[in-house]
Amino acid sequence: MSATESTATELAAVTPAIAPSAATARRIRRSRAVLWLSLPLAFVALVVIVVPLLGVLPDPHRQHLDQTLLPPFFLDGGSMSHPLGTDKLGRDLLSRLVTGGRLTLLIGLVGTVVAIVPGTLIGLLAGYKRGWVDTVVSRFIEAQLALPFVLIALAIIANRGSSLGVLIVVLALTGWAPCARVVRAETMALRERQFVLGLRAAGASSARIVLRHVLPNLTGVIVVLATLQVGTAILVESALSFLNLGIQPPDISWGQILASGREVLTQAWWISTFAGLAITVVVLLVNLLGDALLSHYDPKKRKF
Amino acid sequence: MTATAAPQTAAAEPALRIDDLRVEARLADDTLLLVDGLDLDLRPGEIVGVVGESGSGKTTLVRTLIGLLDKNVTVTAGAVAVGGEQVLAPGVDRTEAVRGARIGTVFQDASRSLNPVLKVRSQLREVLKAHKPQLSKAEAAEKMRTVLRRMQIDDPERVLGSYPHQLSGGQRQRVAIALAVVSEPQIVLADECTTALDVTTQAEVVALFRDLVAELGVALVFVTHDLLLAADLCDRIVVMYGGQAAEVGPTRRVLLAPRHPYSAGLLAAVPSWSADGPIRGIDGSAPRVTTAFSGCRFAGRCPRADDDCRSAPIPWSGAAGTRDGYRCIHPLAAAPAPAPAQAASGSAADR
Amino acid sequence: MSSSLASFGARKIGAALVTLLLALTAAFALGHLSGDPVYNILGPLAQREQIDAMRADLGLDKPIAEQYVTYLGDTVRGELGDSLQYFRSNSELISSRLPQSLQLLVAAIVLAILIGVPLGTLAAVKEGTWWDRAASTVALLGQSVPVFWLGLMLILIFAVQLRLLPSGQSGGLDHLILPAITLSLLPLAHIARLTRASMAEVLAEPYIDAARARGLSTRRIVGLHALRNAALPVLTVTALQTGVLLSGAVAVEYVYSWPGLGTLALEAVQFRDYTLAQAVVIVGAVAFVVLNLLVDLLYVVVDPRLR
Repeated sequence: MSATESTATELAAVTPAIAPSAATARRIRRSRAVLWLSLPLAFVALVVIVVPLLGVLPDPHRQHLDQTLLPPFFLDGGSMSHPLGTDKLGRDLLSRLVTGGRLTLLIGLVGTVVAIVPGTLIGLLAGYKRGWVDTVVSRFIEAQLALPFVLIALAIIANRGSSLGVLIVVLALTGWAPCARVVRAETMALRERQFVLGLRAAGASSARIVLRHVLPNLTGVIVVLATLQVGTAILVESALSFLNLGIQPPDISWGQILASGREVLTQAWWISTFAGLAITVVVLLVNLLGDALLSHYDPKKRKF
Repeated sequence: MTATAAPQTAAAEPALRIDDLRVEARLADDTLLLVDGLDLDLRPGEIVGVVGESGSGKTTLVRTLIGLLDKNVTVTAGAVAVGGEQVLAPGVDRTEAVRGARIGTVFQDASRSLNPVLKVRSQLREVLKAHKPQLSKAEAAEKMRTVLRRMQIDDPERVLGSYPHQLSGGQRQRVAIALAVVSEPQIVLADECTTALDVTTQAEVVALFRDLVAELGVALVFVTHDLLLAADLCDRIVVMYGGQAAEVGPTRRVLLAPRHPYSAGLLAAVPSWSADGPIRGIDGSAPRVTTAFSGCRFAGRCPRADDDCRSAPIPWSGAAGTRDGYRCIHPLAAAPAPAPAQAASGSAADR
Repeated sequence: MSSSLASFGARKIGAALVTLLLALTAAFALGHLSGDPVYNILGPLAQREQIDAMRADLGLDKPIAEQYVTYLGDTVRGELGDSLQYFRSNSELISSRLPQSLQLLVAAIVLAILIGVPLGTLAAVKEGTWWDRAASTVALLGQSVPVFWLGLMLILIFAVQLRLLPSGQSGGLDHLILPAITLSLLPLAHIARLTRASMAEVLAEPYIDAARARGLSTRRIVGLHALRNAALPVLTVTALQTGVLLSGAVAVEYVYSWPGLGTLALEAVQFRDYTLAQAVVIVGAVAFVVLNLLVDLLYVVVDPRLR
């Protein structure tokens, strides 16, 4: 709001040479933000993939019933043999967190793909075809939004029981609609742009225009949506696992560790706390990255 | 509204006095001069036209006077006094006290300067609450009706109860003017406020302004790029270029015998003015004036420019005891150029 | 004018009905097409006769289309079937739990608006200052913290360590504090972000400058001119967030052992009580659609241009 409009116009009229260099500087700063946020995420991914292979951590499934609920090393009774303590079956928490991160991140990625791919295609279809296709798709998007993910999960799981497959289905069923909504709107705007009108006038086929010309122009939007969806998928996974509707033992995920810590919360606060911290930090990084990407691709749409 | 300031009595004390005003914009790697060395006196009941291309500093001038500059734009020299009280100087900004109360402003696009979700009544009432808090509810209501009637609105009640989008473009502009004058300011700034209107409505709005000045004795600064409109309405004209006054004088004198080549160029670009000769635009566009700029700002586009014009700042040439004059070392001859009759008929035909 | 208003209303209601039908259909499909519920309920050791008897009892032996029509008819009449687990009608169960959930939801959304709107406004008015950055940090954190974990942490701090507040169960107003705060965080974050974006856009409008030029105070300009214009997008997205809020409510009720619809639904899942789960899903979907319809209609009140 600082740029009061008419002075801005006047400035622009007088100083055509100023704007680009300042904008470039901002752009570089933003790209740097993207890089700085990607690094810790890459580090987390590297740790959860590589460390279990090295054999330096105890087996996450190995029970030591004589060493249950050991506190982390910085509390009385803790030791570096179990740096973050143990759970109620005496299993090493650090090892469980590192191993659980694999499934959590995997679900984050797979859950994103199954939401973004159909969401993008449906959004493109509705936004480009308009007419009745758009009306139908819009109703479906609304209907989907009317069914919160927990309710969809409940409806399926009440019937089928919980499993990894069900979890992915839930992520697909709930994730496509927000994506389709944004892609639809962007496609509608692009459709009226000069170059698309030109292609249409030249008789290019719809499929070709959409896939070769519209889709590449939406790369930025889709990258941002996908990034944010990773955070959403991780949160959905952890919520469902926490409600005993997601990952079931002996599989380990962060949400499942968090859930298992709930029963012993008053005796061993560290279990749920560390698992929740892991989720929060990764999701926060992903959301920050999404924001940085958003302002990288489209500074005007920056929300915060 | 009571006409407190009769033109004659207040003539000694200008309603608005601008001395050597300088406004700069700090950018990352440069400082721009948006307004430079501007002088202006405005007496009650007087209409001054500020004319120039976009980028000439007109809008910055208006925004400076009401203290609505961007954060990086500041007054770095000179002073502005309203009714004898200093409101602006380097490091001094008392515009908040005069903004809306003693200076009313009408902006370019009325449909965008009215809040779309508030009825005209609440927008007017707000201004009265801010500047005339002593008025009773009934008095305020009466005042709103009066000001709208003064704006030639026949059914004030209906307009008061309307949202901006329910009004015509002309009505919206009248409401915007009403909002600027309902607090009985001594000065009204009109910033390109007729540009978005069709010719008929434009003429009506100009007539409104003329009545306002005549009946209430307000002082009007009419900012426009439309020279003919300024000629029609204004007592005096300030031609601005590159943040400076290129020429200041009585309307007739400036239009009939411009001294500054830029004034002459503007006139030549007006179709009905140069009916005899070819219509000539001025090539090029306004320069970017940094603090390092030296010489005449118009030199790059001026047919009369020579090395002297580019080497040093151009002094102001003006008659003693007045602010009228021009900033040019190779001025045009003082003799009248086109015949007055021709000019008058041209302008009348266009209205 | 009023006829266009009526047609606007009719269009919105029509769209809401279609949405509702689709959502109901989805709820039916999720329950019936993802496998035979009876087989899942009785387990692999059930006798053939047992299964057939139960299928007949639940009407699952009829053709799927007929089941669907019956289901829609029942739902429209407000008949949500009987719980397989409690042997009571689902609507009875739901209405016994609904007040608790509503209490929690309303408290959370009120908190979210009361804190989120001023926070976002502050951030927009003081754009670029540390107020802005602080508000944005709160909002981003709010969107990244799992609600149930936040709930556990609040229990640990305020109930276990400080013993200031009860950790759950329904009761007096003090029982509501922690669950409501927990549930409000996510919508609060969304509302703050949106208010900021929407407000920043409005503050750049020429009519805001014009209001300043008329000598109005910043407080009046923000409070009267800007907030009202900025409210529209915030309102819409807040309503769209209801779904997220309902999801969060299930987790929060679970964390705090709050006897609402969420815990009811979780019990239903635990006992494979698919009719009850389906009934809760229907209630949630209806709530969402009705709320969004109300917001669409409210739009007309707030924005005169639509009239």
